[in-house]
Formats: sequence, C-alpha cells, structure tokens
Amino acid sequence: MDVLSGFLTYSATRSAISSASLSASPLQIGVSSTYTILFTLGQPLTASSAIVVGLPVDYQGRVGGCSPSPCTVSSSNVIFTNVPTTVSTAITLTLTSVTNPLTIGTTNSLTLYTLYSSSQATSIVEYTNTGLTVNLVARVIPSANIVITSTSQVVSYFPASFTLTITNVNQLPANVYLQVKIPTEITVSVSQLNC
Amino acid sequence: MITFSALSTAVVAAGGLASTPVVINNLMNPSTTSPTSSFGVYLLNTLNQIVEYQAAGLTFTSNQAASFYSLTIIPNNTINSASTSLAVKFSITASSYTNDSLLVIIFPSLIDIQLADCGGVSANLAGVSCSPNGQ
Repeated sequence: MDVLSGFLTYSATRSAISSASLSASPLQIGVSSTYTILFTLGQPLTASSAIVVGLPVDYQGRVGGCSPSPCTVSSSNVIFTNVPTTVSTAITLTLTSVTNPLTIGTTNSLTLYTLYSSSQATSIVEYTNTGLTVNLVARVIPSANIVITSTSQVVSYFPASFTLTITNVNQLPANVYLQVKIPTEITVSVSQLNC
Repeated sequence: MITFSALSTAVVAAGGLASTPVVINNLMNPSTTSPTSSFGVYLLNTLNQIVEYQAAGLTFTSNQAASFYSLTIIPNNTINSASTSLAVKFSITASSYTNDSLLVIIFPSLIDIQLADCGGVSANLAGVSCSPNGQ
C-alpha cells in the first residue's frame, strides 16, 4: 500500500470591508475631536473576536479614549473586544479625545479590520485601509487672542501705526506667513504703506 | 490685504507668535468714532493653505474726535436780547463726511433758540436743514 503523508494546508484570504465610513467633529486642525466609524459586519465573528482600528502615523499617540467598551487604546491602534458576531450587524465605533493632525486637507486613512481571534494578530477576517479619512480645515483663532492697538485714537484721517499681537493656537509650520485684511473704514495708502 | 512673508523660518510653538507683534504704519484712522468692521487675520503655510484665522470681532474704534480744522461763529447783531443770525463757518479735517452726517450746535442757555431757523449758504451745504431740539 502506498502512503502519502504530509500537511495539507491552505491560506484563506481576508475579505474587504466596503461599507465603512468615518466622520469627525470638529474638523479644525489641532483641536480635540470625536471620530465615528460606521460599518456593517460582512463575516461572522465569535465571542473571542476583536475589531481593530489601526492608526496612521499622524494619529499615533493622539487618541484619548474609545467606545463601546471594552476597548483599549494604544499608540498605534484601538482594539474593541466583546464585539457583535452576526453578519450584517451595523457597528458604530467611536474614538474620543482625538487630537486632529496639523495638516490641512484629507487625512491619511485609518485601518479597520476584524480578528477571528483577538489573541491572533494574523487571523484577519475583514480588512480595509482606504476611505477612512476626514477633511481637516483651518483652526479659528479666538478673537481674544488677537490684540490690535494704534498709536492714535483720533478719528479723521490721522496717520497711525497699528500693531497686531497674535497668539497662535496651534504649532505653526516653518515659513508661515501672515495676511491682514484692513477694514474698509481705515484708509490704506499703498504709496506710503510700510510694515 | 497686507502680506507679511515668512514670519519665522522655523516651526513656531503654540502661542509663540505673541512675542513678535507685527506693525503696519501709515494707516489712516476711521473718520468716525464708530467701531470699524472686522480686521481679518490669516496665517498661511507655504502651500498657501490657511492654517489659522479669525475674520470676526477684530474691530478698531477711534475714541477721540478730531478738532475742526477751523471754526468761527459770528453774530450779525450783538445787541442784547435782539434777534440775530449766527454765521457758522468751519472746515473739517477729514476730506469728506458720509451722507447723512449731522452738525450739532449746542447753544449756551442764555441764548434762546426756540424760534431759530437755518439754511445752508455754501454750495456743499445747499441741502441743509435744521431743527431746535431742547434749549
């Protein structure tokens, strides 16, 4: 009798999560924000499964909390356990006290995947690393942070020097520049202007 | 819009700009003591993206009225208790006033203005009218 002995294994590929979306509020750069991820479970999980949100570099160390619990935040990801297991379940994950990155525009995508076993990092069932982005906008400086003074308080076309003291809220990039719009009630003589 | 290029060649920490105020010279103050509309302040990065801004609540108020450049008040009759006309001549510091500007003359209490009437004499006051208001 011939005997064939060996290991018969194969690797299953992970499914793509196509239903995920991300929203955040507020969207100003540098502020503390709440991020909400919505998606629908496409593959069944078990009681020992987990859902993981992976954080791109510009979010690492900038997430303060999460819900629903139980969940844990580390510098590079947020792990949710005791998760729903039934296919087609709508799932909402929330990241709280997220300090928005300082770059204007579309952020790098978060990563979202489910683990069949929370203790096995390679047991990925569903996965996406695209589309979980938000569009960040400029930070509003509180008006109290900008003090405008003049060398003259007299009306009627007395030349004056105006000083603007600006207390920026966020860290600013190198070579930042400033534009000032002068109210129409104050006359700007381009030929004499200097600053 | 006035642009200040490259405020700092290095990264500026939060709050760091406060130590380097910017100055704009030779602006002309508003022509009234009313608050102006808002300044706009915009900080931009090298990609011309606004990173921080404020465009509301940054008003300036001139709180000291200017003196007339010249002003005379000349009566045509100086006899006591007689009716008189007063010629009020003045020139202003500003190059112009806005429409609907008012000239208010407060008379000493010993001058009775109950029957006063008035009219503009010079061409730029042709449409002037007046009314006594109190004493």
